[in-house]
Amino acid sequence: MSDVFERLSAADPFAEHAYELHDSAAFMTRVTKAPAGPPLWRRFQLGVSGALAATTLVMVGAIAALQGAAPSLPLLNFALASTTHAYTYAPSSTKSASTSFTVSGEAASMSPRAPYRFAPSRQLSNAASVASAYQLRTPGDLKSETLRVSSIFGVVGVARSLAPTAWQVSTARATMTFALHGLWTWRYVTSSTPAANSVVETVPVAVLTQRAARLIGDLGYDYRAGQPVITTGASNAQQAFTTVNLRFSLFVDGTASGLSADFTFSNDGLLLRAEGPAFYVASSYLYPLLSPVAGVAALNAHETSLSPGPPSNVSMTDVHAPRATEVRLRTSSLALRAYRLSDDTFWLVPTYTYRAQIKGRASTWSLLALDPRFTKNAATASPISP
Amino acid sequence: MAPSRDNEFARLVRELSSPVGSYLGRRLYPLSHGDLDDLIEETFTIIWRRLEDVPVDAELPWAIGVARNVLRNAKRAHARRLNYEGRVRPRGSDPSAEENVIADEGVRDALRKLSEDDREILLLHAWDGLNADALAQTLLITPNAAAVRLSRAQAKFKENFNEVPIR
Repeated sequence: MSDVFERLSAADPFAEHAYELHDSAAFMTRVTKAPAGPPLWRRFQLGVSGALAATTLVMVGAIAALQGAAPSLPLLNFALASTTHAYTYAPSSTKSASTSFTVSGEAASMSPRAPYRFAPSRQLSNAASVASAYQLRTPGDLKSETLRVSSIFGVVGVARSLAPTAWQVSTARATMTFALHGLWTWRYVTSSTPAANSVVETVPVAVLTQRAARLIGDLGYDYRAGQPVITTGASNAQQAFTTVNLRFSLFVDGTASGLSADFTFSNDGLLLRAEGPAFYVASSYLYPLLSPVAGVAALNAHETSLSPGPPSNVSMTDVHAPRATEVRLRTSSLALRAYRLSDDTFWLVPTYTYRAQIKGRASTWSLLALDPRFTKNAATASPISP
Repeated sequence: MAPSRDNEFARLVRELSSPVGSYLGRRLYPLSHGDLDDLIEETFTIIWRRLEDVPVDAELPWAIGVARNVLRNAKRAHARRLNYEGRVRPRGSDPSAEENVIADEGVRDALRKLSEDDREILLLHAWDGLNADALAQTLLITPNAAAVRLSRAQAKFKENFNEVPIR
């Protein structure tokens, strides 16, 4: 052992026989002529999705056995300082009356809203199934991660710590901030000014979409972008250019995460702003779920808990309790939502979203879909807003 | 597609495929050798797409940086697949990819005691021939930080090596 580093170098398994391409011409053709498709790691993910589907089928069959067994899955403790409830009310994006509907519990002291009494429609399933919850991992070295993400957006400079939960790389042209906003988030803002509409050629939206999608891919996080929702901003006196906004819904193993990556370009193709979450999947666990019909019962239980009886010093005859609003929940869909748990870990957890019409207005309610045996303090759970 | 772009990419394939392939091959575990060609192809697909971004004076460390990300993503996807298949092993029970390909037990034991970051920078230097400037490009840190981290990793490795019995 004369020199430990000589032994280290000699231990290189490729020291004698470096890797060689078998057929470089064919390799070149495959790489340069290949249509834009999912990269290798996404092909891995597709394999994972297939495995998930197969596993899910097996698990559904074995669900009864699983439910009879002692839970070995992590118990998700949602205890956080939170004023919201286990389910949230999301007004429809359709422009209809919204004043008569508020988030449950809000303004209750001023004017208690009528409680909802939910009933399942026939379309809702009684079958309990399983779905994956994902424990997320954020990059360990935030400074390095900030530099990495910055370089992808062409922002090359020194990373500065703004706070324990925020790093920034700033140049004369743009700023990249990597900070904890609910989830860890990257945020790009340019300081360049786009040219006015009158002097530029408009870059096709398809080209902007490709650029944004490529940036998302280069970030390498454990999510996949869906098709973007495209909106156009109007010019005004202060802003003599048009903006194109792209919102990509983000999917984890094929399931909507409720999170998005947003890009704003000027119409001459300058990236003005971009923002999205930063996470990798550390582990995934298949959890038993409530059935959609059982979820309706859980919604009713929450409503009851929000509507306690009258104070003991008030007689029933003095109370004009509002009549309950009957709501028939017509459909439910399963999606993931991000939560921060009591141990400061971040998770994507399956949730049901129920839809109903109330006085002709589309409304939705969301509920944690996990079997309650695997959750704690779910009544205080509040998803992280995108 | 201009011919010069083709030529430039061909040159990079000629000059970088061997070191990049070796880099990936050394760290392939727990992926299989059947995955190696796919990983190299994925790496060069990204290089082809981002040909204009390749730094003139740091092509190899930049390419290894791309390969590093490709490999990480593939390993994460692989780990998730194992999860789904129910073959989850306790954390920390797996050898590192590098340990898995080292025959010299003394070297292997000394490497095992290093942190993942120390092991990575040490082997990027010892096996892939990256100096401090190149390490900085690959790991996206400053050259000064790279030099300090490399020096620290070398000292720890030497210390570990002297602690283990000679074999």
